[in-house]
Amino acid sequence: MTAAAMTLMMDETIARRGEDIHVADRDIAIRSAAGDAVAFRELYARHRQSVYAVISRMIMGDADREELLQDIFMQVYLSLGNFRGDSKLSTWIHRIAVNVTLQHIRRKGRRVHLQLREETAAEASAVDAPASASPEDEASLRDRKVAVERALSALSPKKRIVLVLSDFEGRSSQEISEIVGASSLTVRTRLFYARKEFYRAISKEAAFDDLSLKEVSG
Amino acid sequence: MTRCLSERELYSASDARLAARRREHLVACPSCTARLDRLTALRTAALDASAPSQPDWERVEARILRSIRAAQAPRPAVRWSFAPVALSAAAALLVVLAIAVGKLPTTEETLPALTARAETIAPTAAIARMPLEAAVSEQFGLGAPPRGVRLLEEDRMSSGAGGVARISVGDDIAVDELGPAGLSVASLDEWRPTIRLDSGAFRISVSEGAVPQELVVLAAHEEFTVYSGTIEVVLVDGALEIRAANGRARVELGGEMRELASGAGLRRDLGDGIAIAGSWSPLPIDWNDAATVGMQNLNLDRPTGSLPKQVVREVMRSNAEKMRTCYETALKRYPGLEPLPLTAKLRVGINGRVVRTSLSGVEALPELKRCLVGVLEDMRFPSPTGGEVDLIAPLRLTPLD
Repeated sequence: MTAAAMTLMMDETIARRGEDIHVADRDIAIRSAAGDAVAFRELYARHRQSVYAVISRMIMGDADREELLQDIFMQVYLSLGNFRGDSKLSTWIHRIAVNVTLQHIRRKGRRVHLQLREETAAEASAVDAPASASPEDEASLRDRKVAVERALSALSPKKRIVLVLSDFEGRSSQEISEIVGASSLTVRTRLFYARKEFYRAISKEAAFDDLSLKEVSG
Repeated sequence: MTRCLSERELYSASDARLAARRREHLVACPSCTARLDRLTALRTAALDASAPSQPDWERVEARILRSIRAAQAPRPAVRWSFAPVALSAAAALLVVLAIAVGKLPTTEETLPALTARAETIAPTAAIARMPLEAAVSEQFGLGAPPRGVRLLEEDRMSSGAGGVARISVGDDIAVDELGPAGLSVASLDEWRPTIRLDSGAFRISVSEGAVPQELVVLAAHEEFTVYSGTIEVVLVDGALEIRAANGRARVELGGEMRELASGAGLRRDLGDGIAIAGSWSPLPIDWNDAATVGMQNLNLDRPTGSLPKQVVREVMRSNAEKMRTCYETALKRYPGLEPLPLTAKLRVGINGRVVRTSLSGVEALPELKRCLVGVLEDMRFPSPTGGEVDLIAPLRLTPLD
């Protein structure tokens, strides 16, 4: 078998696997919408981590993250009857997550500003430092977390969401465009400005001194 | 060696999306490589530092299931069972029936933000825009177009049909689409310094619930932000009007929150023309609270016709030589003349003659302005379809090497 033929076969395999996932997505959506708790639990287990990662970064410093996660999956359940499989289930769920999160931010009547205060012991311990990390490393990580929180909360929600989805969640601009409902070129533009603001902001933070970005802007 | 990477290119490189020819520079340039390394390190550090702590997944799941049961209780059509339900036609039918009888909320009910966008940002834009800049630049061999907001493409010349408008700010391209519903304004606020709106009528409607909840539109260095409600923004020759369209609206103007009653509005006279650009001085006219405008009082005087894009381009090209002559004459008199970014606005009458002209950016050179305006006024277009049409032509006059 030639290399080209093998490549073709591999591509087909990948395509089929993608198709399978798509079918599985629809399957799980239909079963969940029909009242299958096991299916819905599976849906929740598959997507909770990435949804929580997004909302945690969107509303860092906000204690309502678990409630928001709950609201999002409740909304997902209520809307499952409308999932037609046009997009990936993950994209569709994230679209809901983004909208519910933005509504949450709006409801709060403010951007989720960083609360400039001493962290409580509980919050400080929430920083996942490696078990082997020294107290200095843990302190450094905490400082960086606060700096990231400050820089993220300074971004407008729509810039923040594209930055989070792109740089923290690794999603492509095409996926982000489906999630936020903007053209991918608009997404790329927002992302550029978001990155410009965000990385410049954290590079000025003492916590990132050893990684200064002073020359990034050329 | 070629120029170093721009910030945008640096981000592209960190996404592994840098163009091949620029990658060659990156590999050969220690400075750019160091900048990329720092950016990569910063991204990684930010990612690590923001890693969320884990919630109690089971507790959240239990709460979700409880909420679902509670929400489901009055809905006999969809029962929540804890036994797996096989994918079957019956299950699918159950879903369909549930929707048909309104037992499950529709997307429109539960996710207004997802569906509002297309219908809420709906200008009845009657401004004709066209890709003249590129065409004229090409014709003149003038190189890069001027910095500023420009509409680069449009498939239509007036309201009615759909089209796509691409808008850019210098090198930072941003895009909004002028779809069938009108202009999407998702990120105008990011282009604040160089937004340029033209004369004629321009209307934007924004409703609460649209994805870009905060719309910022700028006029002569003013900005306003829509916080709630539906507003209409109308830019007419010489005036900008903001009106609460359906019910009350909350708008922030100049840092002050205003409550607008339904139908009430604010008007600002902008003087002669409303070209809005970073380099223009603010107009010393305050917002006038007392001016309440209603739809019936608006004399939009907006053209309704259209001209094919290609036809407009050809007419502009056929007159490019005359404009060049104007410029060369000015160059002889002022050898050190700086490149001139200009904006020409034309209204083409029903007979194809230019009935209104304005040219901005050349105020300091009245002779050149007269010459160029003469060329613009003498242009002859085919008769537009459906009435008069407005055209905007960004021009850049630069000495040829």
